[in-house]
Amino acid sequence: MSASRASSSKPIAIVAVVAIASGLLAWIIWSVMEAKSDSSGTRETRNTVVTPTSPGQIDVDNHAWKPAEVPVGMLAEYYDHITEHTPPRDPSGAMQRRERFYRAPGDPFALLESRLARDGPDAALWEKVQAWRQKWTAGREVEPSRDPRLPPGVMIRPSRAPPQDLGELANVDQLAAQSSLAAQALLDIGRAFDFLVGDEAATVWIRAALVKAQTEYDKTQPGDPAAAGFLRELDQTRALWRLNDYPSLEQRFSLAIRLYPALSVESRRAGCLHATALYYQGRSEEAADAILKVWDQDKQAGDLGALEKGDFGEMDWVTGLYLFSSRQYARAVPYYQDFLKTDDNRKRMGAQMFASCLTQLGRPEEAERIRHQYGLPRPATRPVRRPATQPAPG
Amino acid sequence: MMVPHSYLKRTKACLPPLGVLRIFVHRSARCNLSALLLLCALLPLRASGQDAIVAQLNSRDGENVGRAVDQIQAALAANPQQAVDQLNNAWMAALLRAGQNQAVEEFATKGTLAVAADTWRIEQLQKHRITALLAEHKPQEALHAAKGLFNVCGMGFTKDALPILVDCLKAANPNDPSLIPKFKLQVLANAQEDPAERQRLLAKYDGNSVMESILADPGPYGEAIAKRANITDYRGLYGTGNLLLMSGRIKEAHDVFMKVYQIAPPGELKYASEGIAKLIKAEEGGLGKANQFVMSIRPKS
Repeated sequence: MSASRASSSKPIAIVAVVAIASGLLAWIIWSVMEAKSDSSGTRETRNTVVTPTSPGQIDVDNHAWKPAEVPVGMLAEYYDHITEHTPPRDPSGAMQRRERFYRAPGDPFALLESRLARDGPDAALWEKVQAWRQKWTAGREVEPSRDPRLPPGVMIRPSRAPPQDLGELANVDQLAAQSSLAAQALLDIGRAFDFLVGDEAATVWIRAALVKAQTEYDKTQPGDPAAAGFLRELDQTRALWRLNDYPSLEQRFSLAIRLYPALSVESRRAGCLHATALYYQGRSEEAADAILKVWDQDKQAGDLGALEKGDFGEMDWVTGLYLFSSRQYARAVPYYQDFLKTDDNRKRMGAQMFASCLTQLGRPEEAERIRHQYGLPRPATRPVRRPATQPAPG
Repeated sequence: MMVPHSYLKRTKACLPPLGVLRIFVHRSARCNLSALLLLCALLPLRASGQDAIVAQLNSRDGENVGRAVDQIQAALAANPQQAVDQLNNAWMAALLRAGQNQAVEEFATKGTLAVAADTWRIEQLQKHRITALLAEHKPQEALHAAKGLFNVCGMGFTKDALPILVDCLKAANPNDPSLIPKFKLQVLANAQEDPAERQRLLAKYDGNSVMESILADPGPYGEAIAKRANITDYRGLYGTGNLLLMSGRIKEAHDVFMKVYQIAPPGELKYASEGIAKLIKAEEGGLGKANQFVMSIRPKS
């Protein structure tokens, strides 16, 4: 009897021990997991109760919010992160990080009213702005032209658009440049006008700011923090790209080259963009000189390709292009040779231009070899035209 | 003149990765016969590098266009997420070119309901829907949708949502040209990050009266919101919050996004925080306080 009871209680005891052991094990595992999540901050995140101060109102100063990088909401497309991301490039979002310095532009009318004097160019400027503003607030000023076939919010491409009728605002840039307003204030007004009226109205103020900055920062040393605010606002002038305003872009990047610390990434990127602005004005020779200068600086800094290996291909490409366009074929050759060694996906185009350089240099066999290597067609032989001695009828 | 920088490279990178094919491959894996047939029909065109549906829509042939619309319908039912991506990449633009505005409206709403938690997808769908509404001469509806878009959009999209809202406001109020400057000045005032300056400028420019006068877009989402009442997971709630924002039901959205923030898995903190930012944007009808929040939570580096 007792033997049978003992034999029947044995499995129960085993089950009980196993149950207790597994319970213990589960508790240990849970404790370890909890400790882990505590150290990674997970628990805190989940258990934090964020209480708004009043219903429907979020307390932005509540310290329970966890740190997070969220993009800022902008009034208009102020930055150009793609075009302006030139070598030395940083694919980790370096251009987007510029938005950390974004602040909404202030009220331009209040700013003008508070800072302009009551006489001289200041008074004349205020008078013009007031006259324009009256019409604008009444809805009588022309808004930027839009192609009705385009989706809402999409403006007609400036190159195809008729110039916007800015009325009294049209020639304000000269007055603004003569006024007592600082360059940074003018840029801020430009950003406000970009949202309120459009790119053309914005560039009136940006152009004035660029002129003003030439003298205002004339004696400023590279890297002087006094220019930091101005440079950050200068980054927000995408309107100039949209309007293909290359003379102003040239001025913008000249200033940036000078005001950023020598050999800094920002200064060299500005150097590339300065060359681009020259190239688009048909000044290929100057563009080539400018980009070769940047090459020298890149060599001194020694960081080209450190974060983006395509930097070399990009630099070879633009240098070859600017030299080719300025008919400096012999100087372009090594850049195209180097370019064809990269894995850039414009190789065929590069090979075509390289072959053209060789042809121009009287090396047709080598040109043919390159065309053959890249499967390019032979250049079409055009019949030689006699120059017309008489103007064509009509 | 030749373009100096890597624009070509970037353009290529922007192309849809696999296009329409991927959607139907996925469907065929589920042994959906009709999808499999559709895949067979699409293969030759895909092979030639052209989207079959876009080609049909571009054909200007009524039958072809009708067939394309049916195919999009089927794709949306089978794999909404991928169909929405295709809609945003190519199909919506082709539908608009083909004058299929009602189809655009329908697909935008269906797509929005299907991917309600994905703000970036909704932004594009709604943009197309607003274009269709304007093309159909429904400026009031377009305006409501544009307000809904402003409410729901991520912070990075506000620079796109605002001009859309301005265009719709203009279309809905053709006889009041002074409304646009007034609206813009109020938006500028409300965009100030400094609370005192924001209040001062709002007082100067008659408050936020124009934005507040624009109603959002409750019609298309009411039923779906009601059906989602029992959803409690992070993504599900985020979707409900988005639909509430688009509907203009901001107080309800408030509770939902607060809950979303509390239950957000660690990897979703950024997106959940953006949910709070856009909630503030919708509550305030402007950007200033939302940006104030964005700046306050920015990691100190």
